[in-house]
Amino acid sequence: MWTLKEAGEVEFVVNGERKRPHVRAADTLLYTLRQELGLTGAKPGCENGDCGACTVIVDGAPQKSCLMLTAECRGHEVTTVEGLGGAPVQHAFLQEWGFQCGYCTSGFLMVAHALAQDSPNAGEDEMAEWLRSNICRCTGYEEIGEAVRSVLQHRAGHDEHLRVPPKA
Amino acid sequence: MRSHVIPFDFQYLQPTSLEEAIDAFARAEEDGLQPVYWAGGTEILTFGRTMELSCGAVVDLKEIPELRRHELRDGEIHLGAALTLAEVCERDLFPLLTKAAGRVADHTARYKITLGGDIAGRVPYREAALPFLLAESSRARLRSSMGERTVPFAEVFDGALRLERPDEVLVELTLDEDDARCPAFHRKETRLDWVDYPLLTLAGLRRGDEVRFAFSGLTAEPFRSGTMERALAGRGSPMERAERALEEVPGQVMDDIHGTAAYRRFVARTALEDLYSDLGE
Repeated sequence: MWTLKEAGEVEFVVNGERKRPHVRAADTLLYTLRQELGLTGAKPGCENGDCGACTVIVDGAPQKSCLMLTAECRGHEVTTVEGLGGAPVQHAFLQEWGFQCGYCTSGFLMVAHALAQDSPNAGEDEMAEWLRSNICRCTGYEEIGEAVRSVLQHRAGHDEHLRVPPKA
Repeated sequence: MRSHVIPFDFQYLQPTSLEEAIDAFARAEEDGLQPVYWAGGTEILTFGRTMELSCGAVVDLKEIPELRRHELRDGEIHLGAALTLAEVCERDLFPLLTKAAGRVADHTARYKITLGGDIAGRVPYREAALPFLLAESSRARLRSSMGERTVPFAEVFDGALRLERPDEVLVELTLDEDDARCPAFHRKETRLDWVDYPLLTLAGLRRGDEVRFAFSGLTAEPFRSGTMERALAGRGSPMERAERALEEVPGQVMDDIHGTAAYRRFVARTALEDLYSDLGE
């Protein structure tokens, strides 16, 4: 039985690199990413699982990092917005103006990227169901939807067009 | 200055067998750590953040294979308590459960919230319990330091999961494949947003000539009432049947920020009429 007695090292992969941060057992993944690993792309919003600003991808699935202990990540693979590395969804958000203040953007990018990986043929209903997990208080939902829609259409139709060109 | 979301410390214990989990829980209790079982952990984190819950140890059940069982074998469906709601929905072995679980919280959160956590948790709606209240063959398998028991689900769930001991674990839920394939009805109404706690949720199942239904959000805890089912099966128009059924609600209809009691009754009546139209005729 693996035990973390109040504090210690937890080993997991972040953006392709093996990390061993020293954490409290009660630390959330969000806290560790930002405070111990310097990855500030995941944003603290409600810190209650409601807003989605802190969304990351763990083993291919979107997760709200405020609702996950760092200890639970032992042996797993975490991807943050810093690890997307110019993914099509990032270009699509630029092209479609999929952000206003930008605070929620990294969370939306992670959900959209996970959706594009999991269900490249997703229709409107499925897309809406995934995106409902996140909140944009600037209410820029139309543009966010357009951005995600463009990536899904590219993925479903032509794999060679995976990279959406940036707006001229 | 650093702020921690969880303002207290605890030990994190990750057993790989039920025996190890129950033993770890007992030892933590002996040490005065007030342990809690952890699966998705979402409620513990959110209640812990506001100090409505504290503990000195969490026993994470996710790595225990029996709690991750997810299969149809010899006509019986096995659903481990540590399966996430997303996993339950994707596999879709029990379509009514897919509908109920698919409306709990939001899509991302369902990758973390577990079946057992939703049913055994503190948040009173426990919407994933409704399909198991309706399926005749649904059973709960539980294990504690005093041994194992497998009982009809309705015997251990009367609005909340009634455990015999603090160290008892909900291991899995089972039901017959035939029950899972019965015609079903599900409706969740919320006050405003699609993602929210229910104003009310109504789930129904028809087995032969019998129409069963269960509510969440109408009263303080989820329930199924045979008296209400008999009233709905009586004479009259669907509206008259629904109104008679609602006269038999076992408890006080909730009156809170999500909706007044009168509004809940109105929504419940229309939902029951639709359920009767779908399943009763």
